[in-house]
Amino acid sequence: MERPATSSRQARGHAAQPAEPADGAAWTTDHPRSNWLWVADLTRWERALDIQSGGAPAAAWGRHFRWVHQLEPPGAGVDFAGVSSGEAETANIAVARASLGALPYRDEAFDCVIWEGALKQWGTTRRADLTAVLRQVFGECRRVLRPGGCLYVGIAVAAWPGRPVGAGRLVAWLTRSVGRLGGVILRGERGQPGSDGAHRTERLSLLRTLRGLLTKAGFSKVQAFYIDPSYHQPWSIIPARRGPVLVYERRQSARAGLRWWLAWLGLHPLLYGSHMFLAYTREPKAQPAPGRVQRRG
Amino acid sequence: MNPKLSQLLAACSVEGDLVGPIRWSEAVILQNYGAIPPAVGKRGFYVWNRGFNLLLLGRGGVPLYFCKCRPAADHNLGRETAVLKALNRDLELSSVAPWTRGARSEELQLQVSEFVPGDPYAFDVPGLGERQWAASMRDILTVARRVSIRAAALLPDFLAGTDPVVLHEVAAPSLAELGSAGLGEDQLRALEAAIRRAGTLPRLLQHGDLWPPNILWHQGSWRLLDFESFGRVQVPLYDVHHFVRTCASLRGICSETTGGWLDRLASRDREAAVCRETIRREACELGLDAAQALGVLLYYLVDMAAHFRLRGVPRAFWEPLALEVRRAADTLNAGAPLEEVVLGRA
Repeated sequence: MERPATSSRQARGHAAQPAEPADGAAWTTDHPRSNWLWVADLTRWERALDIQSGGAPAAAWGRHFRWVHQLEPPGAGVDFAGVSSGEAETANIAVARASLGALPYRDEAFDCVIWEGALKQWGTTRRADLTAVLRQVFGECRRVLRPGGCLYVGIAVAAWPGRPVGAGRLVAWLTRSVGRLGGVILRGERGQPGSDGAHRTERLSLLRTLRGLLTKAGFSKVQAFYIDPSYHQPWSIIPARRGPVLVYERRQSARAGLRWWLAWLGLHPLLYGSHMFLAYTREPKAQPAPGRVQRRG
Repeated sequence: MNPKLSQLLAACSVEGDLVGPIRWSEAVILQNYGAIPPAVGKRGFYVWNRGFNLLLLGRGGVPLYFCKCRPAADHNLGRETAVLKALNRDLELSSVAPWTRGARSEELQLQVSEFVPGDPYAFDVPGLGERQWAASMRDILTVARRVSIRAAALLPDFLAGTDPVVLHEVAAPSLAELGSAGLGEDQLRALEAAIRRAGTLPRLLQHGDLWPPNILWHQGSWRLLDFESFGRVQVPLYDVHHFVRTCASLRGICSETTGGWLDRLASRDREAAVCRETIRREACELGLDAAQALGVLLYYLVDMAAHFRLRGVPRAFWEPLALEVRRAADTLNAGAPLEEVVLGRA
């Protein structure tokens, strides 16, 4: 299968490419978070809806899908600079503005809905409010996804407020006791800033809550991943399961330090600053013909 | 798993164990440094090493395969796949390089290697005793030399020619690059003269990125990883200088607070003596004299700094190397016998 090939789309892209930015800028503007698409179980790549919350520009998704609809929440400044840098990149991207609680598209219009920075723009830190908002938006995302489609949700965990639940309560009590000491050790092991120490225990509830909300919204399959070391440096994407987490942590250090033991105990969410969810709608029995995307309302 | 990636994985499979569907919980994305396809325009050096790696796990979470995924425009991955296949087929070197296959589509290049278990040398090197460290460096460099010599027969197309390398000629583009980055005329002249004194050297394919994270200890032998740069440099002793400098860095021998590499190499402490002795012994094995060993050291520093700059990495990455080059040039201009200072007396 060693066959060199260049598609006409790639050729157009090369022709329109601007000069390489100076001093390492090319290394920091590459939006590697979009590589989750290579592990997504998506069979059709026609239309994607990109709910903009300051994540990767729509152009990053436009290289994977035939059409991308970028949706800006009302009141947000539309960042056209982030959308385009040349006709070759914007020809397949349409920008609209609407409330996320009532997406202006017909049912089953998209193969994929992309929602990065999902907790960022609500202007509330009350968990009950956020949960209500997420429930409503997930329902809308489910509605506009075709059967077999995929919702991607990227979350920087520091944005998740509220009290821990379930096992989180016990861990919260334990970590309060040794909290500051543990935080110091964790920071020391990974050389990371530890400004979100207070949120560590609350991460345990995020995974369960999001899974629950997505399932209730009607998604038939929910996959959770951790992103390490952070939302803005997504250098590793790890399935949120014990086996992969242990393998990953073993590769990070020769000795079994506190991180490894936390992983071994199943307290993975304490270790990672960003989560990612892929939620799939139930596969159709027979593939329907692709429909036209229509604006609603 | 994305069907486009699944197809490439299936195309790489020999045993048939990658043909079956890979579950979402069996794939870990690592070194995710660049979008595929690239979100911003990239050419040449900028494409190199951008993309991500994939660790595929078997039942029970045991790592089975290590995959490199790169944009279609990357020229190094196919090259590395060819190197690994050749080395793995060779009876003498099959234990050094893993079983590897490659496949590509319009968007993505894929390389699949059997997962190589083992302890990275990078984890061990900071804690080794002085004698253990010296012995391990000697063993690793012996393996690397064996690979370089054997690869010339296995991969004859990789050699840029049969003539010896004229060091000042191969160094000229890198010196010009550093000249455009602000290196002074007098500094460039001093470096060029010292490199010219090395004359010609026998051509030898170099690993190109021989440093502790790319070396594993497994079942009583050393294994080398990451051959993406293999053969880019064909100047003997280049790998030795890179390996010794990066080992010393991991042991805290050289850092911004303790001065540059050349300063530390010239110092009187015992670990610096181990470094000098290692370089001197390897130079002797390769039949190089002190002027040639110094010429290659200067070429190595100049080439690394220029190469990092060409790849578009942030200035903070290549600036310390450029500073090292400036120091070397200033020392040469001051008339110091740099051969003896950094390599010791033969």
